[in-house]
Amino acid sequence: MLHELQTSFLRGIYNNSLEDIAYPFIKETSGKSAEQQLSIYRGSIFGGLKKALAETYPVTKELVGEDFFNMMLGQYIKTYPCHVQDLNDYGEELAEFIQGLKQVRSVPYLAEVAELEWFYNVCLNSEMENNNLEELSLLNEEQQERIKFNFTNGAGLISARYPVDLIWDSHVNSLEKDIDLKKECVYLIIWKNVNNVEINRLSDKQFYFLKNIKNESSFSNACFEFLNKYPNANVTKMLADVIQQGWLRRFSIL
Amino acid sequence: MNVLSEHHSGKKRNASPRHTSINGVGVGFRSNHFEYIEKNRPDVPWFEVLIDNYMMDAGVSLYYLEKATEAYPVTFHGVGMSLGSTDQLNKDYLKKLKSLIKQFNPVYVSDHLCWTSVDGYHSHDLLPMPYTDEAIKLLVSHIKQAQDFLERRILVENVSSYLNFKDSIMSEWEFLKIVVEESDCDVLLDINNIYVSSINHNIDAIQYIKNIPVERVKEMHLAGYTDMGTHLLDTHGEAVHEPVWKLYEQALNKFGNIPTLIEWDNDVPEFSILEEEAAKAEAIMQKVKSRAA
Repeated sequence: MLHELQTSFLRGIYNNSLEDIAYPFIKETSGKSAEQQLSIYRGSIFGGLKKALAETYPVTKELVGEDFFNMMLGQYIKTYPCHVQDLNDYGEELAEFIQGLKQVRSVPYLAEVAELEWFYNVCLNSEMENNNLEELSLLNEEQQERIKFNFTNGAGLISARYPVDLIWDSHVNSLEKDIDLKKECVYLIIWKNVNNVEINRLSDKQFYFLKNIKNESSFSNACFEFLNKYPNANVTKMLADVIQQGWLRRFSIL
Repeated sequence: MNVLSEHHSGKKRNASPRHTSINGVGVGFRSNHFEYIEKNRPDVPWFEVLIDNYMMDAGVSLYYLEKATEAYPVTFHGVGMSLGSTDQLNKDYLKKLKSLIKQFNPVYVSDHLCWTSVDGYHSHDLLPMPYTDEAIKLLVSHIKQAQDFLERRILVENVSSYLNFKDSIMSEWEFLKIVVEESDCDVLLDINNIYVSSINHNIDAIQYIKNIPVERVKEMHLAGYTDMGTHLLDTHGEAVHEPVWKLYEQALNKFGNIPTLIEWDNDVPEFSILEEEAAKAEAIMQKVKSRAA
């Protein structure tokens, strides 16, 4: 009975089907209907989640204004109820959600800004892992075939249609600068450099190199895919470069 | 010294000094005041730490917590145990909590008499229990499991409530009393929550306090609510209201000079405002003490 009450309660809160959960479990008292009592909890739960999302997505909020942002989040929370214990981990799908919204077509870069803010949030809350790359020299040839490089904790790659790094920077730092919003692909890495989160631009070649390292099962597979696209690239030099930048800090053997 | 690089190193530190008791009126240890506290070492007898915000291996918050525990006793207050949920207790959460307890030696560890998540859905809110035998059985089992795992007694706090369940067969204070006695835990009595619920449900707050077993109450909370017109909401975003101060005096009359916390979590003001609130509570404590003597 208690389990049914709790699951109905929370699912009903998220689905906005207060009537369905109200009648079996809630007693009308003190002049308040069952629905009125439940709606207090709904307001409190949604309010807490909106507050957390507003902290994760401050520029997204600024771009559309507080009222629309709150309305949008109301829809988002119903579509993506919270399934995580740490509020810092909530909101990963907001960029994808924004892409499907007709109302924000006048702000075509909004989803990309939200994507940048999500990675920024992930990096900000990530813990630094120790660098183990010096152990690379200890590997034999067979082990080298099975290397998988890991990104610095929380690091994210973005391929954006607009200069979202400039848009983000101008809002965060309140800069009065004109940004040319003409469509041009911008490749970015968002990563944690010891204490600070950094946003760096990448060349298209660097982007695809890092993307393959991130997505492919091993470094050798990543190189294979990358060289298909850039057959003349110097992979050794590129690897040394991204390691020097601090974007790769660890490896494992598959 | 570059403190940031040091506390990002992830190195485990030595355990903080072991304080065994707290007295008087403490305040919440909140990030807005980290630097102020470290620099000024304000004359506060103890701090309460919202421990869910420290469950990482390294970071700025842990650095300031370590510094604070060198100078002050602390208590740990959590919102993540979800003791009343029909889900199993979250062992990862408890493991992290236990590790922090070992590192920082809090005088008390507390959470709430409520549930916050079920079946993978998280509310990040303190949701009420129906006052039933089934709920008692569940809470007692979970509190005992938590205490066994943490190897210490915990305090459970009464929450504000905004609804009544049809299934409830007893009052909130009867429910609380049975749970704490059967699970052998202690009570963190939130005076503001009692007041908020008493107005929302038209129940007698004095009667509530009279029925809580004296020997179980180890700490009290004071906070501000927001009047929403149709109900009072426990927002922790305002100064303590006059009726809550009056109820606090009644509580001190019954329970004695129990360590008390000024809670302020939203729109957190300057530290001096918290000190003023703490001084008000301290004055009431002294008044009750001198009357009793």
